[in-house]
Amino acid sequence: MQIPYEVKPREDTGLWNAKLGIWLFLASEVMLFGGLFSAYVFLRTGAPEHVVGQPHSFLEWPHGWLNVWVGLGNTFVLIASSITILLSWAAIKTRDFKKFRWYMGITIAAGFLFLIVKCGYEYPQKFKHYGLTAQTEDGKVVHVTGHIVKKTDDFVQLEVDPPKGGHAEGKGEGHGEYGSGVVVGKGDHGHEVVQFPKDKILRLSNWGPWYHPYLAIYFLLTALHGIHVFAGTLVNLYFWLPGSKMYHTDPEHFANRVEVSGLFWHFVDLVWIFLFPVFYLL
Amino acid sequence: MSEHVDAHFHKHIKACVGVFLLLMVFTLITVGVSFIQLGHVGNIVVALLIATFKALLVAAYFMHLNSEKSVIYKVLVFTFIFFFALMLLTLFALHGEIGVGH
Repeated sequence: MQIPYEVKPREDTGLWNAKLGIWLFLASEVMLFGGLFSAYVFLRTGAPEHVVGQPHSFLEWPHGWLNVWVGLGNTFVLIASSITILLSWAAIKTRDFKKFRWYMGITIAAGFLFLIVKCGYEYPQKFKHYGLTAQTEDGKVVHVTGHIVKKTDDFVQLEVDPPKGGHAEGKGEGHGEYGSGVVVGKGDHGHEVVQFPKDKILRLSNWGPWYHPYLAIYFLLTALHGIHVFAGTLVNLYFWLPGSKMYHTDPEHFANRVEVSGLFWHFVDLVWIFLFPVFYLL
Repeated sequence: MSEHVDAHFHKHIKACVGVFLLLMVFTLITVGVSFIQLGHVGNIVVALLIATFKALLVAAYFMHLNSEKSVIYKVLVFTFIFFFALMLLTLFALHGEIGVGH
């Protein structure tokens, strides 16, 4: 028994079933990502503003914590995959199976490339990067960021990041004033290695979502988006391999399925169009 | 087996390839503009305006919304009412109309 209106549209709405279904689903996804963007607005506007002449607060909204060029590359990858999935659907409609295979293959590769860059490079970079807050002798604190060179029960050695354009988070950051920290040499990247005694360290944490509200909402939104990229790529992979059998038995039905997957994929691209400037540029 | 395509289909595909190139260009513009100091609010407004324009291109052409059936439009009207209500609530909460604001 055939399910009605999988291919032939209903007379009253002019739609086949899955077309309405996917749009209803995407409408709900707008609210899912919308709610999290609203959370971003609250976190960002709630962050303290820097007052000229006053020391910087750790909770100020940061800039330059993400690599713009890597993000730009990933943006190009997703936009390109959006046109290729459309062209793969067009190939089914014009009955060119080889072309469908070619364009869908590129779409799948683009999805995996995006995820490899995000999860294999960008995220690990954050987990290898550390922020350290230590007491100084005069009762103040010093905050530095960098990469751990050596860690023992008694001390932590950090190769500190160079200061960015004069912005210093309190004392430290390559300015030579590290309170209880002592410069012990130069690291692999040519920056100072500073050794801090364990008993003076108030906080040592890598740049995971727990480090700062910016990273919390960054990881949450981009990871949720990443899960959508992964799910979409798996569906595309199914249509590329076992699912493509339907091309030979019912090509219009197959075209509709790929169109539905394409709509989901375009939505994923659309979310990234907002995520990229919000986290990487603003 | 006959093709289920017509002249409109081919025009649509050509338009989409053009939209793809436009999207790439506007992505570069987004990055370029971010280096110009337009003030705190200015940079945010410009970036979101460009992003919205790109999103509308994707929705209208790639997602074929500019020639979709009215049922879909009716569904999406509700989506955007609720989305803007969410953003409005956010704005109200920040400016004190609701709860404790700045």
